[in-house]
Amino acid sequence: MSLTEKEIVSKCQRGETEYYEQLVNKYKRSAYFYALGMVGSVEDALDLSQEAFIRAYRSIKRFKPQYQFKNWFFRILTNLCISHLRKKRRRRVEVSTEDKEGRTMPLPDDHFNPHLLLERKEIMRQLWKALSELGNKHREIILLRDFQGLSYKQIYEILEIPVGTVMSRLHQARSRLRVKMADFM
Amino acid sequence: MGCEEFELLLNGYIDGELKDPDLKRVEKHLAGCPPCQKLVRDYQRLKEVTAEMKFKNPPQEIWDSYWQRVFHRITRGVGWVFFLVGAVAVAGFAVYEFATDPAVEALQKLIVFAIFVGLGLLLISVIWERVKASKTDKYKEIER
Repeated sequence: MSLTEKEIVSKCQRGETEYYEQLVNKYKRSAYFYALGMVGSVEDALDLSQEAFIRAYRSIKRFKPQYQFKNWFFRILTNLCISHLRKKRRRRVEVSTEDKEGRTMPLPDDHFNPHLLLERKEIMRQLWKALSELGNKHREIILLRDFQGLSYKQIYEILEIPVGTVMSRLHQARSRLRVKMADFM
Repeated sequence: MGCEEFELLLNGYIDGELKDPDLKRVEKHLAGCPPCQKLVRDYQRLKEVTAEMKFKNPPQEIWDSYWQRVFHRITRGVGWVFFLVGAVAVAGFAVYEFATDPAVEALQKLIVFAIFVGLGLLLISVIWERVKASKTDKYKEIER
């Protein structure tokens, strides 16, 4: 007899680590692809998604059963991705070069490579580029809603922002994306 | 309400998240507003393209070993905790035994104590330097 997700979480909370495998197997793909969309690198996405599972397990006793595990886990993963991107941005500014006029130029970023896409149609390449140019908050909300297909309520639980803010942030993100994708509209 | 105020609700509309009375108001506005109709079409197109975007799947070995890597990192953390607790307990016991052993002269105890305090201070100094350097080292990403 297969267990429900709540029962599995409850067993993990009692220290039965072997049940955690079921949760990891259920969400590993969506976690990896979401992280890949956020950070644009295969190695970083794998590392961040696994780190999120480890952190979730370490604090699973604090998980409240009235929430969905997926939403709680994605909150951890999102925070890790944002923190990773901030650190990376700081490092890129520190490890910078200077142009002929002595202005500081950050090193070019090899992430968000179009080779990561399954289909490299021009519209997909442009969308991938446009997403990489969005701010972190706008990229995360587009990925959660349109890539992961989550509802506003789920996004509210993950990002801990009111549904009204979900809607306004989506509006800002889609408006910017629409401008960047104007040639394909 | 002008088009600007409706723009916000249009996202809820295309995502199927609007309920009455907002839903009816948006539908009524859309029926007579070609620019907003165009906006809805553009947003729907964006949604479709984003939903179609697929990444290459990593090799199957990555998925096969995924849980093992998570599991090892979880258990490794527990292992370190046990090791450190045990090591501190053994070291504490050894220090206590040595310090209270009447067969060892006070001068010997003082010399050994000085050596260990010195080693401890050197270790703390090296760790402190490494921590400080890791925050400012421009070349830490370079593989050696």
